[in-house]
Amino acid sequence: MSTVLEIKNLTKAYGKFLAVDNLSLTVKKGNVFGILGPNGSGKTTTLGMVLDVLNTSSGTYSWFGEEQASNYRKKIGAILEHPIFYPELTGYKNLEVTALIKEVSLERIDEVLKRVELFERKDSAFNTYSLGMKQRLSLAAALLSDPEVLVLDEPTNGLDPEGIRQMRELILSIAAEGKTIIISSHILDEIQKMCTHFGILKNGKLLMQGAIGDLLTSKNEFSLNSQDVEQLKSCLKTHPRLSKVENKEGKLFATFNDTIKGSELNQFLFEKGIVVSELVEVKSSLEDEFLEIVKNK
Amino acid sequence: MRLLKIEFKKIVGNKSFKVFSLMFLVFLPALAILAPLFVNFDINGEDFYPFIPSDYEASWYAISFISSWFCFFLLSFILIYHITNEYTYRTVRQNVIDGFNRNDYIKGKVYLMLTLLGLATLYVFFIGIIGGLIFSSYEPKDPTMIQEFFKAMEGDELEFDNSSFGNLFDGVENIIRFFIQCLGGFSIAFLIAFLVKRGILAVLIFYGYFLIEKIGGAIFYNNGMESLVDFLPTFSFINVLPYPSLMKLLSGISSPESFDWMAIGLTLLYSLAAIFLAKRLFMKRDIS
Repeated sequence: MSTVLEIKNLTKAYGKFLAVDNLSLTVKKGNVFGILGPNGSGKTTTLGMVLDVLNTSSGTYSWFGEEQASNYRKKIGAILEHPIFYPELTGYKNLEVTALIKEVSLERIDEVLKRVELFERKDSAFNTYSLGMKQRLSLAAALLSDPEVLVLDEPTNGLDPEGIRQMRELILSIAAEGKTIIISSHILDEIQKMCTHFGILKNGKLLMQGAIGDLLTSKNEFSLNSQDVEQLKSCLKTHPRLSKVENKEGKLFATFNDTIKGSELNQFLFEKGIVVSELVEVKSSLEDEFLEIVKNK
Repeated sequence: MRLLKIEFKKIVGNKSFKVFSLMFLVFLPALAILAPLFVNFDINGEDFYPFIPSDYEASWYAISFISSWFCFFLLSFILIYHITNEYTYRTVRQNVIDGFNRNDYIKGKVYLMLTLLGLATLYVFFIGIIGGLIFSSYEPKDPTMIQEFFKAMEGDELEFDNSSFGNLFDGVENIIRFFIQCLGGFSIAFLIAFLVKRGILAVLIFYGYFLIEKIGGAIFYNNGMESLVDFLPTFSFINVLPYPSLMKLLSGISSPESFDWMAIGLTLLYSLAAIFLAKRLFMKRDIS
């Protein structure tokens, strides 16, 4: 798979303060890459640098495997922080400016406006738009050049639940076309629902990166129940790979040392004469992991 | 051409641009043509219009001169706000994110400045023709009347030649001086706008700067350094199209000051330096 964005040892210093500290990460083609981190962790600063609005203090980045090739940014659709447009111009005229900058045919404007469901309001001034419409216009602008990569910084920030749902569906439908998407967010749930890969940032440092799937199954934990909970518990304790078992809310939570299949566990118990009424693999939510990682370091 | 098109798309929908350019289009002819037709004195029971130029050369000079100050106050305002608004709205950041090369961005702004100035120069040319034709249709001034007026104002006797109004394009070259003088002022406005990024602040600094330099120049002058004064930016701009001697101008007695090539050279040099500095600044700084 070809590399879309490669960041090497990127650092941004404001005086002595390091907003981004020796950050390296790689985004492959087709990834939906989530950059996760609390507010002030350096997400926007990182994106600002790779989009050339902030100068780097040290380190390098390259898009599409070429270092600083001209015009590479026209192949990127990007929204940094909140939507930015000329307030007195209409939605359509704003996109005209963007189209001219990106050297895209003006016929694309109507297409993207329809895609984000703003076509009916295209001749209203930008400052009459609701926040949700502004966000969607941003997305329309980012889509104008039919970009290979979308960079979205906090795309659902400040939206109501309906707006969040609309935005998420749009992003997922774009991802389904095989485009690479880089999303930053401090909302874990959002990353979990949209991304294939993620990186966690804290105080400008990358704590870890990987595929979402890796993270979700890494707990090796099951919740179990049966008629006789105590008997089940003592039986589980005889399992050679068990690390711990706890009784919570009338259920047992058993954690194992390495990967174990539900069927394997079921067979083990059945052989011991125990019939379980419940056996569920606990998928840890990213949130637990995230909090754990951020807490541990 | 694409760069200019982008800048025009941005500016045309802007309300303050519409208001200010309309003011420019309306008030400039009002001041340059209509005002002289309404200001009159009564000398020995006859109407005397001191501000109606006496020949085409004086007419071109007066109109260029008035227009230049007008541009200084109105068009520089448009230019400053066009640049600083992009910082206020943060659209400059979005432009670069969208793939606008920083170099192209600043080029677009320079092209816009030159185009606005070019359009203004065309308009001044147009007003110069209309103004000249209107002024020439008035009765020539009575020499004795001018002499009396002049004596009352300056106390001097006057040699005086009341020849004809001349040819329509006598003195038309003064609008070139208008162009150069405005270019000087605009370039300083351009630099300040990129430097401070805030509209009101930039406007205040822009006007304040000329005031401070005037004061500085006066201090130089009083301390035996008058030779330096003409090298200051503001003074070289002014020398491109200097304050006309009012009396000379209105009577059309001698032709107005001729081209000061050193001032023109200095002004062009300062303009280039200001634009270059603005570019350096824009290329090097973070766009937040």
